[in-house]
Amino acid sequence: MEEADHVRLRRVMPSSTNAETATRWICESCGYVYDPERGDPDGGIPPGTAFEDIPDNWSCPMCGARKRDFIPVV
Amino acid sequence: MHEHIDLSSLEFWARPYEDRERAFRWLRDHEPVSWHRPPEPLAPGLENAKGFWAIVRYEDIKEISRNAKVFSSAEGVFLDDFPQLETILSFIVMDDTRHQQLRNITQAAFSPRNIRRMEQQIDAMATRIVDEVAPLGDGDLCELVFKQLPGLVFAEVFVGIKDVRRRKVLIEGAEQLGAWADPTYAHIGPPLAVFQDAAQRIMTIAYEEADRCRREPDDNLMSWVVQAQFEGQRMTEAEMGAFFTLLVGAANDTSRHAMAHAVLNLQRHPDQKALLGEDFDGRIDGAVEELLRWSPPLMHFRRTALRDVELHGVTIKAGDKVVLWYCSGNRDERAFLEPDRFDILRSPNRHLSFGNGPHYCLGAALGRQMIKSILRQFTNRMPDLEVGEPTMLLSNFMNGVLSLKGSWRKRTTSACAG
Repeated sequence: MEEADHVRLRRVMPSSTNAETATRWICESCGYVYDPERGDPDGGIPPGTAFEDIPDNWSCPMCGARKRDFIPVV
Repeated sequence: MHEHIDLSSLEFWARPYEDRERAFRWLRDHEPVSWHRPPEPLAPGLENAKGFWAIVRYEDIKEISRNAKVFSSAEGVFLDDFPQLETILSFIVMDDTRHQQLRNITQAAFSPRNIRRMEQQIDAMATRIVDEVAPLGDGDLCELVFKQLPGLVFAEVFVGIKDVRRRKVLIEGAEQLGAWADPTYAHIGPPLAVFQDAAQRIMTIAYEEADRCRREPDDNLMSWVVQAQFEGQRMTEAEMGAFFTLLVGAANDTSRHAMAHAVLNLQRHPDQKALLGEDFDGRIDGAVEELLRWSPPLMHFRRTALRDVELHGVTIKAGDKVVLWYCSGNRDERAFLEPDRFDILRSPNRHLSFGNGPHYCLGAALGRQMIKSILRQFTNRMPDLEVGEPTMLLSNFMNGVLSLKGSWRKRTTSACAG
């Protein structure tokens, strides 16, 4: 089988990067992805809010994990 | 090779949990992706056509769970082929974008924030149940307590059903949904007919309650569901019925088994039970996570590969079943320090008992809260509770406790529980 026929698992997964280039952030606990375009209106975070501007006491809307449990993804 | 480990046999699932864990450990160490024959049918007429890949390492389970573009839920989520059952599984058996739309309509109602607001209400229900149970002195806790709390919470808080008879129909329907292959219900018909009978009765109530909530909206989930929109999308009537049936089954069944395991595991680890009792409020959150890691109520969910994928040197073909064994991931030495040690102070404790990624359990916060509320009652009001050996459900999916008999000193005082 040609290499192109395969999807190597690691390639299709979100890969970690540093916070400066991140556009989205993923909760390490449950996999919820914070998308700045959507924000988290139910949690008081309006659409368009960058992750860095979210207050430290915000928690994951899906599992309740803390802000510091999120990691940046491309 | 793994020929000595047959995840497809019913005999494997009849073994004690810790025996099975030893087999999963072998797979994690030697064959992290292994092919298995079609699972033996749970009942005549439920034969499976296809074999499956077993995914047993924590990181693999997590990453496949997060990659819904390659690993679909729409082809079914059980190891066994149950297309008839999946018609009522709502967005569990969907991929995006409809999955995300339906989930977003309901997510806020189940969010940790919303469940925190219900904490006192759920505590009060647990108190009411234990008020009735404490004077008895002994009995089957599954019947007396663990089935009752999720039923009460769901019927009263989420749907607003005050009528005792209708609430009973829901609780019994949930029981029948979860035990559809049990010979107890054979008088209704073959297993799938048992399941469909339960689903039909639950959906009838769903449609009636939806009508009521449209006419007289209240502060409950059903009123929310019939009104809520996400990006201009509402649930259709059929989607609402399926969602309601899913919730009845999921909320009642998984929570009740998790509560039974919680009591059992604390008794089996008296040092940890004592540690919790010394500072209940300070340690209960960590204890609940460890109890869930140790005995996940659901042992797997399945995905189907949409493209060829290579993992650990194995090619998973498009169309293959890929089964994520959460029970194995939770004991993976690569993810947890001393995973075979039960430790309520374990931190971090990012277990897989609620799955991961876009299909992460919608009811996770509610499930956690119910375990907390019932353990608070037992710790404060029935500290001498002792349970016997459980009767377990034979299943490759649900880590179910059918019966857990207990005894305690009879008490008639109530409502002093903190």
